[in-house]
Amino acid sequence: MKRYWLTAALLLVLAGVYSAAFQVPERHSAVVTRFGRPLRQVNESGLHWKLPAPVERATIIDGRIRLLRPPGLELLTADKRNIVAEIFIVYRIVDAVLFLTGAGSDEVAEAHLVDLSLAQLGAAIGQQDFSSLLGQEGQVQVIEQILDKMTVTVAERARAQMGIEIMRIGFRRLIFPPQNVASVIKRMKAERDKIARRYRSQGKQKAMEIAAEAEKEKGQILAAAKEASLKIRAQADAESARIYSQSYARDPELFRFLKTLETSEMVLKKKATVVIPYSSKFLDPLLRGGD
Amino acid sequence: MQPARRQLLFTLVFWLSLLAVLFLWKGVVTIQPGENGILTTFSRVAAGPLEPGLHFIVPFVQQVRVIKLATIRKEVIISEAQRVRLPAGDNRREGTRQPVTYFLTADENLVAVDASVQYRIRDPRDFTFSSRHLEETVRDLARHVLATELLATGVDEVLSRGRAELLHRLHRRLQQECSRLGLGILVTSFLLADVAPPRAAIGAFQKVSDARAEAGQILSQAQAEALEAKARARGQASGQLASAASYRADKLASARGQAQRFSKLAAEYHRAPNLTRRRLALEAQARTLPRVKKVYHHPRRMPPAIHLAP
Repeated sequence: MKRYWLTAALLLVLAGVYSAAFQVPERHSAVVTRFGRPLRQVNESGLHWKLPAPVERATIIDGRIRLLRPPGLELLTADKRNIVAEIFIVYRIVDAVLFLTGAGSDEVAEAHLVDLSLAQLGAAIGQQDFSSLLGQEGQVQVIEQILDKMTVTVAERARAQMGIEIMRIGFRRLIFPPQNVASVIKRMKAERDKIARRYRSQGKQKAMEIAAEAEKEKGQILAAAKEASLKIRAQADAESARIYSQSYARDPELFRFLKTLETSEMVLKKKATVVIPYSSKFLDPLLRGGD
Repeated sequence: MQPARRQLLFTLVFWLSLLAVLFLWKGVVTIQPGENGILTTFSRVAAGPLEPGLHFIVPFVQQVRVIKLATIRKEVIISEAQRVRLPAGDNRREGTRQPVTYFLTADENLVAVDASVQYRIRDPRDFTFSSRHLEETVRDLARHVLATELLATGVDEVLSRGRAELLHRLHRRLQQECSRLGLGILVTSFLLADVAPPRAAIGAFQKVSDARAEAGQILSQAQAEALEAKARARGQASGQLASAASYRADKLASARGQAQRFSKLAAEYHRAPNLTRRRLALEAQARTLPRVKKVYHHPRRMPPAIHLAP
């Protein structure tokens, strides 16, 4: 009988020890509650102790990064253009006690986060003109500024109310609503047609410019060549005249004689008729045998 | 030995050896090359990772998670361009009634995108414990980066010219986002397998690239023609110059020749002036007279009209 009591006591102690120990996994924390009232928060991972079960209980809170995807929302920009925004929220629980008292469960916390962020999103988009959402030249600053501003507000409330840290709010989608897509595509087509026409006409214009330029250069080249060759010819004429005159100047008498001879020879063309007197000395050697 | 004590000893040995077997079976961990182990004691992570090799642990109390470091993981972000590009009669297209998810570009064009990212583990501990939904988080961050970057990029750059630069920006920003959240991953690449305009506009985009090609062709043809015309003009010019040069050469040569002839003649003439004059005259007569009509005149009837030769 005594032995049974001993065994029972041992088992009770074991159960007590087991229920007094709790493990906190990496990046989790635990809230120890005494009769339901939060007593302390354990942020260190590993093995920890508390009073056994009915007195103290440990609630393990997952402090890892979580992802939340609120449903997409059709919004109106400041210049009354419809846009569908779908965001995601990256968050984690940093204050486990506040989370337990402020939210109590993941579902409640998520629902609250969705409400908070979608309200802020609507307000943020509603203040912006559509065109300001579109970045320029690879700059994404505007949209990130909008998100930052909205994140700050959501983060403040989430931290204060639920012990949640908002790490990132981003866009899964930011696009025209489906009913507008067809007209956007139509506009895209029209734009492309315009661009295609512009390419063609620009090409033709450029080609014409090139041809005109070539024609001009061609004219310049030919004119320059003509000028140069005329110059060469004129120089050649002048130079040869100089050569002639230099050489003839040495013997003007002979030159005169030769020129006369040459000229008279030229004057006597085929049709010319020459009257030769019999007395001419020209015929002497032939007709009268020399003297 | 009394039987009772013997039995106790036997029981003790039995349990001890069972424990030893258990330790050997459960307490030995091998980490392969390219892997790391994460050791937890009562769920608390040990400071450093377990390097490749043999390790002993306390069963039940300690646990090891093996992480493959070298593996490159791939996450498909979105895959819509393929759907856009399916031909009209394809049943896969008929099967998916859902509208295509487009992205908006800076010039208010819509594009469908096939995008994925590849990453490796940078920090095994962060990779394992940082996030509850790591893959989805990476995917959403990538989508955010993609959506916002496309909002800041013109459709032409997305479709052709600026793709490399865009990818570079996407990669850099995704890595920043992941590092900021401490996800323990290294983004190795951001891939845009395909970017397509909406199906109805594909033809119009094609027309633009056709027009661009055509314009380029017209331009290069014009350039070729211009070059040819200029070359022809230059040829003509050098022809003119060459003929001028040959004119010059001719002219000078003949001038020099005649000058030379004249000086030779002059030398001869100085030796015997009368004789030379006479010879020259007779030679001229010989050249001239055969080709003209000749009338011989008797001195008693008419005086001679011309005196040939002195």
